[in-house]
Amino acid sequence: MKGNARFTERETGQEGLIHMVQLTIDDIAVDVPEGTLVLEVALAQGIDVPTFCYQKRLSPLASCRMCLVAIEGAAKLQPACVTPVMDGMVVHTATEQVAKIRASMLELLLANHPLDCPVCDKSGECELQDMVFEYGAGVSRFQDEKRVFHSQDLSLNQVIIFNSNRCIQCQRCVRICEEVVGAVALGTVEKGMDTAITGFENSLESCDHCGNCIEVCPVGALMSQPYRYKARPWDLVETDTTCPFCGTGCQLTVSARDGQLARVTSKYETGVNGETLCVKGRYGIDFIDGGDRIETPLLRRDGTLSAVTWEEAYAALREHIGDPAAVNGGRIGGLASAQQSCETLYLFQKMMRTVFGTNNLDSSNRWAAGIYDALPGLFGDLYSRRPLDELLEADSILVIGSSVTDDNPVSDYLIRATLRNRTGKLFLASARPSRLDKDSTAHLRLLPGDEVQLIALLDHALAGMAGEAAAPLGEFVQQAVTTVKSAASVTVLVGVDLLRAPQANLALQWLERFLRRLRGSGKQVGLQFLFDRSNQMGAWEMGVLPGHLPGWRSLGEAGFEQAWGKPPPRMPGADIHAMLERCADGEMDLLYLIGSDPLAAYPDRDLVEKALSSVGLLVVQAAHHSATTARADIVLPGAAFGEETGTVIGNEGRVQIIREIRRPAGRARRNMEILTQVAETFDCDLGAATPQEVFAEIAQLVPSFQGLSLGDISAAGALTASTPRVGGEELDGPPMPTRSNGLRLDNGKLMLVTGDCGFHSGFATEQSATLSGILKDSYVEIGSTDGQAKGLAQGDNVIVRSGRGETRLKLRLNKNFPPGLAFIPENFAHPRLNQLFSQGEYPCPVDILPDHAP
Amino acid sequence: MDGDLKERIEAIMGRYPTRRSAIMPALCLAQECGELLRGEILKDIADLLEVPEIWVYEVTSFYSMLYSEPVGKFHIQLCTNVSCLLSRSTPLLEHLKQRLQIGEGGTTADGLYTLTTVECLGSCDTAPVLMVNEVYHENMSEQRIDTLLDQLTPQPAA
Amino acid sequence: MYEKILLKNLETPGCHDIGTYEARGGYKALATVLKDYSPGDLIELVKRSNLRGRGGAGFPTGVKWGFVPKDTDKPIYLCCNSDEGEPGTFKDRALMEKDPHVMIEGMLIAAYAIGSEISYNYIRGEYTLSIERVETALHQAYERGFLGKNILGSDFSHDMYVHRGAGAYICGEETALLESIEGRRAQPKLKPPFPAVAGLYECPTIINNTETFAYLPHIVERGAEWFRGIGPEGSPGPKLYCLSGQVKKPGLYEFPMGISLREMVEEHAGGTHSGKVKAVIPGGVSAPLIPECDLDVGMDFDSLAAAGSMLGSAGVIVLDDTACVVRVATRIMEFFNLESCGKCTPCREGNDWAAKVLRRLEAGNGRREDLDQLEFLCDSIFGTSFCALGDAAAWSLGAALKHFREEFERHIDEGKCPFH
Repeated sequence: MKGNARFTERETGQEGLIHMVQLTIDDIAVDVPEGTLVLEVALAQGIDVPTFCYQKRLSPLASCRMCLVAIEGAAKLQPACVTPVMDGMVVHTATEQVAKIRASMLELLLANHPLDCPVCDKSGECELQDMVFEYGAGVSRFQDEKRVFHSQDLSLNQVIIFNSNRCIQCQRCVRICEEVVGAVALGTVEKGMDTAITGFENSLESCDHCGNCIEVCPVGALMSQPYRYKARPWDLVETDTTCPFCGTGCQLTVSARDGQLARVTSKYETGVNGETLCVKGRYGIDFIDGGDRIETPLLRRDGTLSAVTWEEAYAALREHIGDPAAVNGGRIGGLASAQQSCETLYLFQKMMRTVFGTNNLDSSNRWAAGIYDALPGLFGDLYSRRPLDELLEADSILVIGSSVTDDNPVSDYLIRATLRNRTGKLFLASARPSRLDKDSTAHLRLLPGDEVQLIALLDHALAGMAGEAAAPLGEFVQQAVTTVKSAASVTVLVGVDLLRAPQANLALQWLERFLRRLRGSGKQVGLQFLFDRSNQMGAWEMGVLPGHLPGWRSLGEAGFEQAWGKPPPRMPGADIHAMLERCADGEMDLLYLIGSDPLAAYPDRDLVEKALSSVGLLVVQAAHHSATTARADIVLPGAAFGEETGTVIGNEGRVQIIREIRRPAGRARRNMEILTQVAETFDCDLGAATPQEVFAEIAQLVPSFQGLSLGDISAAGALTASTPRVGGEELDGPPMPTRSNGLRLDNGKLMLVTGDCGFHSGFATEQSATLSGILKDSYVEIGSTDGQAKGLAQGDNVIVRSGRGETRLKLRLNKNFPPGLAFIPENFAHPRLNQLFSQGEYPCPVDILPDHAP
Repeated sequence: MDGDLKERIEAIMGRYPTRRSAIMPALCLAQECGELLRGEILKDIADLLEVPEIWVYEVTSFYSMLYSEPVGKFHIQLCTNVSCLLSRSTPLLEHLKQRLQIGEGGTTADGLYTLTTVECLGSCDTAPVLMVNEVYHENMSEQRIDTLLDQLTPQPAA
Repeated sequence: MYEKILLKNLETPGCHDIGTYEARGGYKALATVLKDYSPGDLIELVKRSNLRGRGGAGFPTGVKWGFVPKDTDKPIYLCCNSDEGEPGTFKDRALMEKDPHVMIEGMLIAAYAIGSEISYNYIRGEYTLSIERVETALHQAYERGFLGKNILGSDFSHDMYVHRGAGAYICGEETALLESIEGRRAQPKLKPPFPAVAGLYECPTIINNTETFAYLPHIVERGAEWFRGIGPEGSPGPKLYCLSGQVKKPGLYEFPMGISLREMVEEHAGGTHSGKVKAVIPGGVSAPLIPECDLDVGMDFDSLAAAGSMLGSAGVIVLDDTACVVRVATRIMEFFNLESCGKCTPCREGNDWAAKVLRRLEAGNGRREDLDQLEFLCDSIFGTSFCALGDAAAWSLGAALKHFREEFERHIDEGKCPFH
């Protein structure tokens, strides 16, 4: 991430011209842009200047006094971290006086800092240790009583434990919590020697638990409870990989000791996240060790699943299907999870198409029907395959249909950090309140399904056409368009809420129209999705789609027959909705799933129940048991995250590597291997088999991957390329959306929406012991006024009932919720949330009633 | 939060362009109304001002005149800075401890008196000086302390 | 013998009431300013007078006002620093309790000069009577039309509020004062930007001391040349001095700048109880003490700076020869230790270390190495701290060590305090 001292032409106020300043530092003459800090000049010259409180992305403090340097003409030493360069300045960073003061500051810190190194987690990677070694005196003269805050470490919450005696008051934790994460949970109490950082009334129970405060702490004051006492840094084997959860695509460093997962951190210089992580990425990776791992192949015999060998499992599959060439591809379907790697997904669709002759493919349980018609228009030339922080430099940013704070926390951090340092304006429209509301120029509460109306109105207003809408929608459109009109650059970020509701297809069409109109009026336009899965974009680019081949190519397109040795089937396939219907009608012989759990995830449990009981054969390839595997006929144990190397494409269109940190558990096999073996079972050769080979084949066939090779992808990943516009000429105006009534109190009913909560991602993290330790049970959340009107209080047991089903949950009241909205997180299996929903209706109206059952 | 207190806080909010500025006056007003500054009242103030709770907590703990621990009915604050020190504040402190039978920072068992030492009260020309709650008592001596305590301590009914 | 300027009202009962204040000529200067001066003229007047801030830093007031950007569309704030926490100082309290209107009138004059429509008077929380008197005075001023919209029929409007402190010496530091008003922990802010450009709420802000404002109506009435002609040219004007400690006649005095410290202590304040001065702290405990042999120093900004000390808040604390310098130095370091805001390493950690050593030394358990430690601490804290509090702690201890080292050594060698 870029820091607050990044100056561009615009900020010096001179178009196209940066004023340069000449100065000398340690006898080196340099030429730097006006506004550069002396510290930045030193670091760029490879001169070591020690700092504690300074961090590029945080507000300047100059309180630790470690970076004091000598500047000719100044009577006192000056803090390099806040001193901007001046023409003719002469800086000395290595004088005797400077060295003496550095040693003095360290000796002062060591006076009260407890010499805990032998028992302190931070030892070996402690900045204070490093600095004392480098700049300290080697002797401490202090002989009086050290200040002691407490003799037992303070547990601030399940994951953060604190030793106040070690704190050196650098305030990095307080600043990152406020300025980047936006939680403002940490603060500083008392003054003078009693100064201590802490949470409200010494607790962080209600904070985000993201652990970024721990990560930035230079000493062992803030510590991670799950990691405590587990290892010394030199015991750890580190693997850099990519987070498996949302589409932000944070770079993780996963550390293991003797093969056991020890902790997850991140590096300042890498990735979209640059040393920040959310609670899920930091603490949720233990999901690979949690829940129920499938460790052997399973075969249903006499109604129960029993362990078999791989050979037996494959043989059973062969027996059921017989000769696939004799099977109607229309009766076979495949569903893959968007958390699988590109390589697995590519091989999957290749297998389904070349072995089973079907285009019945999908990669998500949750999106509305019809979106695959509208998506190609967005993914060619419009989608911005660029770093998110570049897009966030736009004059105006629209975030539509996204619960970004919960779905993509680190993207939320980036937006916040950018808005602090720039003048860009944020307009945010979402169903649930967002932490970014207060950073926005205007925000709007918008039900899923109403995004289409918003975008159509934006387009109309931009075109100068009158559009009718009641406030607050009308007001929001007004404000947004006024800004957009005078902006040179506009970035639109679209969330997954927009994809769930029935009008999603139309919304996407309007989105394309709006973006092309913006571009046509000479503006620089940016578009990215904020996916809540790590590889949704990858799944689509790899062609796990009923109507497209890899690279959004049409089914008849040439090139594939040559590459695959067989023509892919020409008939457009069924998406998940149609597949499930056909299963339920007894028209499907085989459903092959990788990692997908429709019985829990698809928003119509009844339909899935029928489908799974009526399908001929259900084969599930997965790492963990789920509601769906319990119904399977054949279960093939696949590798979990970290047990197989592959790539994923994040929201930025950036390909990043997920690396193996260990072998697959039990007798599980790598997913790509399984697919190759399934193909072999039917006497087919899928060709490319290793990640390198598969990637190379992808690079040949998928235009956006052209020129990339797996071996060349660095820690920063590699951006895929934009491709020529897909789809025809000017769109005829898409049809106007049907007006919705928005949030309404209809007979006291509320509109139920779902999605990630702040502590969980999708269906995977319920398996994480740490995240479940923070939040184990689901809940239903409604507005305080609605709660009051229904005579309900925080913590009450309630029944949530829709036209289809009901579930029992604890109630949460949120004073920022708009009236008429209810939210249940999607992440928990127990409540069977998808029982309440029915296909084609989202959100769904529900009653909330007190539950008097014991 | 008491309705009257809420009104007074809302009135004082009007003096400042930001809600955060009203944190300090809100705490002073709450304390004036008899609130001990911890727990619910801090949350209520944070709620009313729409600021994070931690900001209210930070301000409460920073200032010596905002109390989050109970203080006796009469808070005796004796200045021990240089001018008062030179004018015999040390023996006066001993005298107070002796009369009240508590240490520095302590509170009498009946909750009547808390004794603390404070920094300069800005009345150095009439040293030694002490403050009882908000009232200055100047030119103190052992005798004047005795008289003061006799006046403050409720006498049993005749 | 010396003309009383501010003391005239301070020594007349009832001047806190607007009726009395006006009857004695109050608010005439304001009327003159609004009628006859442009803001620019007014700034020039104050520059010519060479009035230097009476809070402690002694920065030329007119020059400071000139730093306010002329072409800003942000609101311009004025603050009165009535936090008066510097030990030995009680002049501002006297003004607020007994003559609050001269401060208010001065603030209005300053506000007009810089274009401010709103001001905050930061009064330390312990000054209950001052707060009461100032709030009442403001109420009276509003009623008489000296505050509010279109003051005295001019285009100038102004609102003035009291902001109560709550017990923190550091709020006397001007940027910490601003943070306190903004509802933050009162820790000093980075400079630049200076408050005149980006102060309260990041808007242009001028902060002046109570006494500085109090002299403004007099400067308007009697002219810059009158003011400048009193005392030394570089540090002119009448000045309030607070005498306390071991003197026979402690109290608030007003003398021309530059009066000798010896004259002040031995003639006007009646000399010491014991008859012999050991040392005098000239400007609040932040100012290094002046040993008896240097007592002829002139009490003005420049003379005291040249003597290795400062005028500061003019809190003059007298030690006679029965006083123990080590005890005083210890108490002062404890004060800075307790009042440190805790932001920067040298002040937070260094003052604490020094206080611990001094307490032990003062109690008779010191060693010779402790003196080396104290010198190390003075060197480490002075010039490296974020604000002047750390500097003051190191500076004042350094002077005590320099001038009275043998008292420290006696504590160490005799294992007890030789004075008690």
